[in-house]
Amino acid sequence: MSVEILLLFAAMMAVTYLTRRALLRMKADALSPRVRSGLQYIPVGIFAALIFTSLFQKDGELVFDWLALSACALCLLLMRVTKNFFLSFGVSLGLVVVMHVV
Amino acid sequence: MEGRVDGRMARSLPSGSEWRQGVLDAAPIAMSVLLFGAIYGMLSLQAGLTAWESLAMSLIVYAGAAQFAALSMLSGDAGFWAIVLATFFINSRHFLIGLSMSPYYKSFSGRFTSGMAFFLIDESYAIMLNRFREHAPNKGYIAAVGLMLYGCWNVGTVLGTAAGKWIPDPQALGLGMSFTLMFLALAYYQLYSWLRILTFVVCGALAVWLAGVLPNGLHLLAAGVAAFAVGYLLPERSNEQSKAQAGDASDLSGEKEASGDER
Repeated sequence: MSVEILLLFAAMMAVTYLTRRALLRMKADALSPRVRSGLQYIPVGIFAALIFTSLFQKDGELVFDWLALSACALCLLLMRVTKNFFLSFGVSLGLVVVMHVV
Repeated sequence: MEGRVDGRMARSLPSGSEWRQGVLDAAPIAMSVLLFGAIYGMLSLQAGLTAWESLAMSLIVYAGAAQFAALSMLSGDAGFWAIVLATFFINSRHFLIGLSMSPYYKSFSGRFTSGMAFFLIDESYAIMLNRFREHAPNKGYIAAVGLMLYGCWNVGTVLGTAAGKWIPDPQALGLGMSFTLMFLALAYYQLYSWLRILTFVVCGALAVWLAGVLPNGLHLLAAGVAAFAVGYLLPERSNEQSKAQAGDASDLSGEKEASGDER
C-alpha cells in the first residue's frame, strides 16, 4: 500500500470528520424556537433529496423508472397500513428483485 | 432509568439494554449497509485498488457515497485534491445532520461526542432520530448503532473484495433500490403533516433540479437548507394542532431536548 494512497484516505477522513463533528455540539439553549423548528425539518429535506435524486436522476438526465416508482408506492402503502418498517422495506424490495429476475 | 424530554419523562432502558436495543434497531439497515459494502468491495477491485487498500479506505474514511465517488475518480486518474474536495462536497450534508442531532448530544462529554462523530452517517442518523423521538438519548444506544453499521460496512467490504466476481451482480438484481426504499420507509415517520409532505415534495424536486447543476453532494445541502427555511418561517409549534388531530399529539419532536444527565 503506497504512502500516497494512505495520505489520500487520511485527507478524505479529515474532511468527512469535519462535516460530521463541526456542528454536533452546538448549545441547544442558544437556539431559538424558530431555529429548533427549522432543525426538525432538515431530515425532511435530506430524505427527499436522497430519495428523489436516486429515483429521477441518472447521469444528469431526468428518468422515470416505473418499477422503482411502483416499489416506492408499495412501500408507502405498506407503511401506511402496517407501520412496519421491515415489512414495508422487505416486500417492496422483493418486488424489485422478482421483477428483475423474471 | 428515565430522562426528561420536553418536560415529560422519556423512556430509557438500563445501559446494557440500550446496547442491545441499538443492535436490534440497526440490524435491518445493517443488512443494507453490508450489501453495499460488498458492492463497494467488488467495485474497488475494478478501480484498481488492492483488497487491503479497499479495506483501508472503508476503515479510515467510512463514507459510502464519497467512497464510491472516489473509486470512480481514481479509475479516471483524478488528482489528490479533486478527490478530497469531492469528498467534502458529498459529505457537506453532514453539517446539517450534525446540527439536527446537536440537541440530543448536548448532555454528553466532548470526548464521547468527538469519538462518536466518526460513526455519524445517514443511516445511523435516521435510526437515532426515530429512537430519540420517544426515548432519551443514551451513550450505549448511540455506540451500538454506530459500531454495528461500521462493522457491517467493513465486513461487507471484506466479503466483496474476497468474493469478487463470484458474487452475483447485486445491481443486476435491482438491489441498488435498497437504500432508496430504506430511506423512503424511514422518511414516512417524518411526514405527519401536510406542510411536511409538501416540503418533502418541493425539496425533492429542488434536489433533482440542482443535482444536474451543482457539484456532487451540494444538492443535498440545498434541500436541507430549504427544509430548514420552511421550519424556521412556519414554526413547528403552529402545527401541533394538526399533529394532535392526526392522533400523534405526544410526538412534539420540535420541542424535544435531552436531560442534563450524561448517560
